[in-house]
Amino acid sequence: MASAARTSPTRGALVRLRTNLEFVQNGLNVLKLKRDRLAEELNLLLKEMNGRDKAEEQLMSIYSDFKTALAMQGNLRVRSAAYSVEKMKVNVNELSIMNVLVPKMRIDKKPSMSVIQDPSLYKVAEKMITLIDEWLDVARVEASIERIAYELTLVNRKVNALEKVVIPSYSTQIKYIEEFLSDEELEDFTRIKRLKAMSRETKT
Amino acid sequence: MKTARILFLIARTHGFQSHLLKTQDTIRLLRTNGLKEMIERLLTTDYSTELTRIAATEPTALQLERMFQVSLSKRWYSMLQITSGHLGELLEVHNSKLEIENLKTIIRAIHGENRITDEQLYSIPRQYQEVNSPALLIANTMSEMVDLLRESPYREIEEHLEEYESSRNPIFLEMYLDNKYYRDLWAEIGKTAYAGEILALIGTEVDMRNLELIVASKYMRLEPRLVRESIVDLRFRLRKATISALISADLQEIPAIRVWQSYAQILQKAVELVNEDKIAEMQTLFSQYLYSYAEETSIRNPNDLVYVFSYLQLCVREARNLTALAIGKQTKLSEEKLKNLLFL
Repeated sequence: MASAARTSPTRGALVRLRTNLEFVQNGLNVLKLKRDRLAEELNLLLKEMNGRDKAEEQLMSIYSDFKTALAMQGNLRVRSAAYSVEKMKVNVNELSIMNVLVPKMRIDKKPSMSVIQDPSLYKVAEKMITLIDEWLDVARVEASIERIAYELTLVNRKVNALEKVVIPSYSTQIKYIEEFLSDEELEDFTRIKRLKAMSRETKT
Repeated sequence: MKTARILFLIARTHGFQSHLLKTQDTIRLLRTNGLKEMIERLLTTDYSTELTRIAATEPTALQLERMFQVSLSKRWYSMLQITSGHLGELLEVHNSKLEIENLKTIIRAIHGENRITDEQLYSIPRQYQEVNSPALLIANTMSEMVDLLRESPYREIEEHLEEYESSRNPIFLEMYLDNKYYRDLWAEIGKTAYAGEILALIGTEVDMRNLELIVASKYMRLEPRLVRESIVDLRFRLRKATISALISADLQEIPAIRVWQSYAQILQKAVELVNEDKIAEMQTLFSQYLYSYAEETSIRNPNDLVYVFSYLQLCVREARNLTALAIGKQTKLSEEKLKNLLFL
């Protein structure tokens, strides 16, 4: 670490570096906990994603019915029927998982399909409105996965940087200063010993 | 003794009818390998002029559908240019169906708080427009729209506004329009000397519409009260008691109700199709009956006024067939499925 490398090898610097290292290690532990929690959350969400295949299958079946209805009625009539359907109201909130904001959706008002008078279009619309809950859930899960996965990458990067760069650099610095101080102590000790011996010789 | 005006109209209609696509042509179009080939085949038909106008780039099914609707409107309204007097008035009432469809679309858009343009409406020559469509298109509320209709033949729609507002269902306004259309047409036909066959044709149309609605209501689980409101209030081969019985019956009980023999067969088949969840095919069944009836009528009565009305029905059939083909080709519907949707 560049800042650590420049640190002068003093006892004060050693204390500061040790405090920093302790703080970084605590941070690393917290990040690891966050990573584990996010990974756990991601695993749960991935399990929920299994419902997507079923929802896709149902959607394709509805699409096939829609193509038939569209061919029979034509675009003009289909649009005309669709205009009468009121808009759906969806409440979108955010939920924080380890400080990652994931969407939380709730349908406040589903449009009534009873205004559609054409039975083949009603059939499609009715199936679609039933499936819309599942698709909203798929959207929520996918958006959550996307955000959590992104955060997980960031956390991983931070953990790696701390583990492989920051902490080793602090440790090297601490070791260097410790060795330096130890050498200095030894030098002082030898010097004192030598001075003591010299003073003893002078007395005799 | 038919007047020269009627004979002239019938003679001209024979000419117009020769421009309609034959069943074989429709089958050939069905067998084409996509929209492009279908367009190439259409270039040899009555649609060639319109096609060359839109064919700068490869047209989409939506553009083609729009073109078929414009052609339908032209075919219907061109009849008005070769007739006058009471006959002209009768055809004008008949053709107001397109304007009613436009009004229904506008009502639905206002109800759903959607904005639409005249692209989503049938094109009607200005001289035959009874309502101010551009103003209606920018109306924000139903009461605003009703206000705009105050000076039109549809002024009585105001009486149904309260019902709409309490139920929040546009069906009450739409049914007023449908009922008015059929009542006016029925009354106008009654004034002609050759009403019999024409009434039978329009009566069949009304019966088919009502029967389709009743069968569909069982699938859609509509309240009987709403079904009663949605029935066109004209009786041809279905008595009031029969309609009431059909509305109150369950889907499986419908075939047991006594109706006119031909209708009984359709109802039986329609119930079977609903049971098989083939709703589009069920709808096709009723329209198919009407178009077959119109075709038979035109063959049986080549020199009667009903021939003109049969021709107008067959124009609709052609537009619906071509629309189905264009959309079917673009969305790659299987030939077999598409064939079931055609009125051959």
